[in-house]
Amino acid sequence: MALIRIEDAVKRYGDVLALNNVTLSVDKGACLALVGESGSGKTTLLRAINRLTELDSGRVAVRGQPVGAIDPVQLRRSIGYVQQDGGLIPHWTCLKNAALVPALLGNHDASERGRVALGAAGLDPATFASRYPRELSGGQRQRVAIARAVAAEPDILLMDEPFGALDAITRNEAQESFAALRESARVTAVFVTHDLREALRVATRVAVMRAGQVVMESAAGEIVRDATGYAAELLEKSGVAR
Amino acid sequence: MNGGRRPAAAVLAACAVWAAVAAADRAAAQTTPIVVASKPFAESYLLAEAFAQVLESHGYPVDRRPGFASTELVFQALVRGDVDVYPEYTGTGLAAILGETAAGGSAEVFRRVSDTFLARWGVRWLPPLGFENTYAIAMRRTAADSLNLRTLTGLADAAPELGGGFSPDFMGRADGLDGLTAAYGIEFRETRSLLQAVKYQALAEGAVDVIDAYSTDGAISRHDLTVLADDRRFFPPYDAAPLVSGDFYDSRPEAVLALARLAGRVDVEAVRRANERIEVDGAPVAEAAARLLADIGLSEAGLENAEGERAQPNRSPRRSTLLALPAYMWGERAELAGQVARHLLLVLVSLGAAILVALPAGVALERRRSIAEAVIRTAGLLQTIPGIALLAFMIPVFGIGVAPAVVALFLYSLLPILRNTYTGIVEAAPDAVSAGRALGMTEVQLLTRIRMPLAAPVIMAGVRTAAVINVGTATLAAFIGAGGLGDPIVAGLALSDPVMILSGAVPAAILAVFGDWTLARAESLVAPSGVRS
Repeated sequence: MALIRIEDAVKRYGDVLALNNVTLSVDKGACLALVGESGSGKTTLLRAINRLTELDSGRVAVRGQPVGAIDPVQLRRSIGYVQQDGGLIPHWTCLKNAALVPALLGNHDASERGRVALGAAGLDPATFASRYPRELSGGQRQRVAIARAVAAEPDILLMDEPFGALDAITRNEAQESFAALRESARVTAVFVTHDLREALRVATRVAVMRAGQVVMESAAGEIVRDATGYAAELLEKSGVAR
Repeated sequence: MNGGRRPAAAVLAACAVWAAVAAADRAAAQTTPIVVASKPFAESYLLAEAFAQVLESHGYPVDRRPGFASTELVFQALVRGDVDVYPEYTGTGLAAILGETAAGGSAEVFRRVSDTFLARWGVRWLPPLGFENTYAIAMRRTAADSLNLRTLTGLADAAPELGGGFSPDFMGRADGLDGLTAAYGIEFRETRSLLQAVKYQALAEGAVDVIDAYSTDGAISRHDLTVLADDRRFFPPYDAAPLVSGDFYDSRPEAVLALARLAGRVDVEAVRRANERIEVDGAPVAEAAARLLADIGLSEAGLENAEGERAQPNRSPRRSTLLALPAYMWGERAELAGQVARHLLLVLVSLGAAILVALPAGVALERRRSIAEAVIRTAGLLQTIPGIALLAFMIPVFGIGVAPAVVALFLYSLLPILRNTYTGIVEAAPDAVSAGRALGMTEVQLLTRIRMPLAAPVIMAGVRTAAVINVGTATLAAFIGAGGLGDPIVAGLALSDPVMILSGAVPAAILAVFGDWTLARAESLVAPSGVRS
């Protein structure tokens, strides 16, 4: 069953066609990686899901409901979101950052949920709860950002190049712990990355985007076999052996 | 004013003042104080004080507002009825206000200005006091003698070798430097603008060779100067007379009559002596004015007591050293305390209003970034207007006193607060703002929980800048009768009294430094903990 359904999505920025008739769906429990070079439209597509971007035409439905009919603030609180630079609130402790969405939702146990989420993201709450973002490493900050995204236990998680700024080793660890977290939380995820290798490590399905269009979509395990044309080129560039 | 040292004394003093006021109330039917103003030079202070003492001796309460920055400012205030009377000179009325050139002698000029002023503004010239104070082009006697100069015609030949130093007023008006150079063909090697307070010093030390002085100036004899004869009669007659507003003339006829009693009785010798007392001996203006009135037989009982000195800065005998400053300030402590309080009022009210306007405006501009630059530039433009000019622009709308000063200071404060608020909000962790929005924070939550706390130190720095600018600029408010620490500065400049200047400048500087320090503390206190370095 499709938890997220995108049909004929079109978005223009001036003369640039960022999304050109994109149709995609993400099944419950799946992790779809949107792969492509910068300017291919993958982030625009991601942001259409929680209405950070409003489409010029086309439809987006989440949990069977058109997003246009849902108050954007309520919609966003029900969907986890992680961006590349983490975007932690600098004058809040890690715990307060992690507990943001439960607190916005008025949960009385927001703080407790934040603690649990920090643990789930691989950070010991006893050590990290009272620290401020500037006291953390890049990898730790990204883990807090993930904890914040999952603290309210959303069924959908949107990730926009979440590990793009990390060094190779930290990045590997982050990818692995994200994959584990996703499994255990049974969350449906859309994961934007320009790195096909990363896509193959974290995703169950991969959609390759170019110039606002999806040029290929398949199961993660089949893409190496099926790729042709641009997707094959991209595989080549990413250094994935065929 | 002597401050009460103990509460009981203060209460007694208050009762005494109240009793005096109540008595005056019964005695005089009209109790609205008569506003007496002057321009910023010693003789204008002297005559205004003489007017005030005459009025007080007839039982009228007086509000003294000496030291207006220029003819234009004080005349505007008179036309509006904010000032009731100030001493003016017929030649200045003709040339500086009407923009006409001299036509005939004293009587013709007086007739011309009184008819025209009445017709055009409803303003009245009372009969002249009886002496003339014309511009006097003066040189060091030794220099004039060595060049054998006696007249302005003679000066024309020597001028290319000479440097001139003239008051800004003189350089800017038709009957001043421009007219003079045209009439005599005088071309100086260089000319520079010098304040009254430093002109004589500059001449004595040879920094300039020629200055504009006033013919009744006590300093002419003190510095041993030669006044060059106006052999082509370029300068119009400058007969001194009280200039009164139409309202005052119509509604207070007895007070007008009291002032008119001065007509023709003030001779040039008496004025020169009074000017000398102020400028050479360092006598208080109130005392010099009282003696002037006594000299010309107008002294009334009670003039010699301290009553007349109340609102006027006291002056100790000419002080040769700045060591006299602490003692002088201690003697003036009650007056200074009032001026500090007024200064703080001007600064705090204008700053508060600027915060109330600029803070929300800066926040709102964040949502309208396309016009933000233009709005901030406009606020910046306001700040490039010189303080005194901005104050002058305020008079036609707000009159004189506290209101126009507060508005001007408010306008000055806008830019730093607006710019810092906008910058602080825009630059407050944009990535955290975008993440917060993506996770369902509302715009209000983004503002109050992320942007404002992070921008607070930057905004506070803007407030701090505005406060320091304000404390300094507020000293100029004295030029439009708003009081504050500018009062002793302006009076000291007019009377060439460095100790008096410092008695205003030093507290103003202390206020600025203290304000800056306090707000710097506040700035670090509002910095949110996670980002405090």
